[in-house]
Amino acid sequence: MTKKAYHWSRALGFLAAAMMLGSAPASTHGAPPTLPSPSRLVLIEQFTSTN
Amino acid sequence: MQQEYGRDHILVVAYHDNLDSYFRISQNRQRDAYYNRPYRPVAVFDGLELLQGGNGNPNDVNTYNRYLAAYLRRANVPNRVSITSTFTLDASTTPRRATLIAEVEALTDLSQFNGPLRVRFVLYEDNINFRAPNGETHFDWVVRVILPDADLTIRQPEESTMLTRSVELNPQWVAQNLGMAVFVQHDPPGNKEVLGAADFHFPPAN
Repeated sequence: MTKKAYHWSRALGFLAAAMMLGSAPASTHGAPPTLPSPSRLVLIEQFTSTN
Repeated sequence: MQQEYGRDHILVVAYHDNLDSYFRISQNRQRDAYYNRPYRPVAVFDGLELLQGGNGNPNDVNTYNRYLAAYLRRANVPNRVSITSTFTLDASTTPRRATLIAEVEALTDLSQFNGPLRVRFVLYEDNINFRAPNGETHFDWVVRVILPDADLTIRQPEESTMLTRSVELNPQWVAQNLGMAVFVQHDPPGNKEVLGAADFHFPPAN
């Protein structure tokens, strides 16, 4: 687990949506991403409700 | 996911509904209404696919896999427009002012789209340290202001248009952490698809 993921895991009530967009679950680490080709910027609009 | 694929592949902006005094801006409701969004958290991929967030578990592979699949469905869709820009900061004024001069070029015949095409400008901030009541202390992609959008009137390939937007910066915003997301969207009666997006930052200070 990355330091950042560990930090997040200590927080209460955070949003998985935000976390998933930032990094990957620990169990997927080590699996190299398949980079799309050609490169394209995909927009993800996140609607959050952090308390 | 953004860490894995990089910011040249994934652009995230986050509209906050709570944390009133620090993150929420009234303009975020405009985007709520645009998507007729019935719940939070939701992630919208290129305007087309709305996915509900997960359960808060940092190892929630199911949510990750759903998001990854949605991303990959969009990753190889060709851009229909290209967006280039100069994004500059004038720190000599009080308040500071940011100016974006963007060029939008059609890469394909845009007359195929039945709805209006709009260019949108969203200023966001990364790397915010803030202790939220729920214990979160670090926030990225926080939308600070949504600038007025613009009609995209060009339709033929290689046609282009220049658009300028300027905004006063809140003194609390850290300039080096600001980004401007610019994207073209196929508005209703179109399907709200994002036809191209770009991400701009201030050049490094000398």
